[in-house]
Amino acid sequence: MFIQPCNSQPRNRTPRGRRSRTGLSISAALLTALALVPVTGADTPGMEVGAVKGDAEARGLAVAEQMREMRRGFGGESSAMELVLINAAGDEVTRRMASRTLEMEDDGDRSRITFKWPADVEGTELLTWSHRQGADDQWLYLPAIQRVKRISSRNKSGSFMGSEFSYEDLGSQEVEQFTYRYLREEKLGGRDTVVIERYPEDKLSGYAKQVVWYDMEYGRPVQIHYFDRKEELLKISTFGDFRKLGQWWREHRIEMSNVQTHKRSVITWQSRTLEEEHTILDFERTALGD
Amino acid sequence: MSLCDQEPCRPAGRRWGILASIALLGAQGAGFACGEEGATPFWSVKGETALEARAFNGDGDSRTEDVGLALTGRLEAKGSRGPWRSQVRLFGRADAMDSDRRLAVVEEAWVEHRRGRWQFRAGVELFNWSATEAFHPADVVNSRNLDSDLESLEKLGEPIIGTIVRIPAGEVSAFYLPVRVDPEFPSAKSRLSFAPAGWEVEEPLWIGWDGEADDGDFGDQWLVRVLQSRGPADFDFHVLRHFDRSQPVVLVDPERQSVQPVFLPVTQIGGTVQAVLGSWVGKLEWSHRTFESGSLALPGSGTVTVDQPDHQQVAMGVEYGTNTDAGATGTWFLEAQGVLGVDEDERASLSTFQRDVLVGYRHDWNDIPGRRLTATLIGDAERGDEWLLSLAYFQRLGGGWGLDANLRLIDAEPDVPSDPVGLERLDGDHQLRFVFRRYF
Repeated sequence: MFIQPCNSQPRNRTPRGRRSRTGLSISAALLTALALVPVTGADTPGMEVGAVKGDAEARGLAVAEQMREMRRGFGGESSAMELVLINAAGDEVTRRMASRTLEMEDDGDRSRITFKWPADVEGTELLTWSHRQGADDQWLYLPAIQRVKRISSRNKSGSFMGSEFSYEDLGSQEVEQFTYRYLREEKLGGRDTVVIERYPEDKLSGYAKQVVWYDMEYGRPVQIHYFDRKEELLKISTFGDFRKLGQWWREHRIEMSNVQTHKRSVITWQSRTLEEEHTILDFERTALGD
Repeated sequence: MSLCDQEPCRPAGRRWGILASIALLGAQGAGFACGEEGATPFWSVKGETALEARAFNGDGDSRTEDVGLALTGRLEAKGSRGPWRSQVRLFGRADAMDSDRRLAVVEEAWVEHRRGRWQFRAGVELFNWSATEAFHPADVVNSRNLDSDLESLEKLGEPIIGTIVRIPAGEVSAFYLPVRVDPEFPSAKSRLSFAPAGWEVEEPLWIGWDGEADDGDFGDQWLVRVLQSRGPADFDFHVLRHFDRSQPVVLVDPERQSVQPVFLPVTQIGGTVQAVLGSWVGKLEWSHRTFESGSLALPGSGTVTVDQPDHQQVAMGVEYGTNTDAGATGTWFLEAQGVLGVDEDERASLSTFQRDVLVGYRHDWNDIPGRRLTATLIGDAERGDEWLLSLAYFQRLGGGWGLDANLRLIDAEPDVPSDPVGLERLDGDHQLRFVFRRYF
């Protein structure tokens, strides 16, 4: 007996990757959003964009769906991360957090972020049940009063921990939440990439569109341009320090630059482990604060 | 008319919590130090110290203290090894102006064994059964420190033994609470005392389940609670049989200038609902209380019956979030509470907030200092002339420091000056408070 979102079809939401130790995996962790890209390794097929036919919209959607299929089977992930906030004057402030993610069979992932620093928010936890369609379910645990609050996931354009990342950037990026348009293939930093545009379906999104460069070998985004509701370029994220974890490439550094305010935020991974055997009980509201 | 002077006033069962926490800390320290082969010990400690300054507007009464300056400390330790978990949380306060405000409490000190979906827990526990922001009719298990933040009174731990079983999207818990924990009452000098200025609050009396006055530390109390999430909503339901400390009968002794609370056994059923509807979050918190009456032998008055009317208390509200282009978030609150099944006079004697409405707004800048401003206004819909305005501001100061600033204004002129009820007892007790915190 599991929760069914009111606007979705009944699903079998069994956790996935624990039965698939050798299958394709994905790291979603805190940045579930950034796991939107298909995962390819040396022994798995890469993206075959050229094989996709149709108009630009159909090709863009096909790329996104191909990515989703390729990322299935990662199971669970545990990560420890550092988030550095840099203002226009170059002053830096550091945040720390840990996350766990559980991949679900036919729905979005479940993630649990625990804030470690600054001290006044240490122990605060954010539990998210991402859904392919409809709003995510979210709970916030406040350690000072030991209370679990149900929160609305609709206000997702707000800043995450004072950084240039918004909750939207870090939340679920399910295929069904966008429409797509294939743009081109090009070299970026000497690497082969495919570029698509995607348009959020959610009217409460802070963006009019995003332009995403996917690395053909890594199967991960290496750059995203975010355009605000006035369709002006707002932010640019760049992904780096890719490392191969088992069969899968994962970035270990993301820099988000706000081109309007000239502030920057950088996420770096201190540790990142795939195929973690989390239990579904760890991702229920009753587990928060453990 | 105090009975407390017939015996040494006891430390309200709190010594049990202190003993439990000391034993737990000692046992954990020893156990974790052993580091058995194959075990994966984990032990984390955090805490804070704070300088807390509060000032009330002058009341011209030399019996009360208008200024407070206190040091506080909180230490929290969590441990786990294999199937074992434990948690200890201690809090203390020493006030330089009001020595009676000294406090050392165990908020938590429990150890737990996990076996599959089952958790077996014993020790001292804090419960939080709230859904709404301001009114908490369901969240009544723990005793409170009544000389703390009026909108969010500090809780005192309750000794417990019991079990939790995890079910899909929820849990069921059942606890036995063998010890009766006294609330922490404001001293005669405190401006937050519900008694007239300068009056003492005597040690409380307890009415047992047999209806007789009972001054022991122990009494049978238990609770069962079910939590369940369904779609965009969370539901909690509970049954609680305990000694109520939120709505005591108060004995008044003008000769001794003292008051004495009498706590009655009560059976409470209640629950909470939290539901997301788009950008809105709806909340409901309710309880139905059935009191047991008791008899007291009072010097000069013979045997009297003490009772409280059975009643329902319901709070509901909505929360709405907004964003700004700068990444800040704003949250609007609208809540209301009513005490039902009793008349106006009974409502006034039962609760500070009888038929009240809260309007609030919280602005989170989401910036590096983590600035946050919360403004709330509570008005009495029935009495009309009662208002409580509260402003709270927080920001980080860097280096592990933080600042809380609070302003509270209370306007609740008593209808009958000689017999204030509810919020009227605090009419004009405006307060400004600063807290400098150092986290470690």
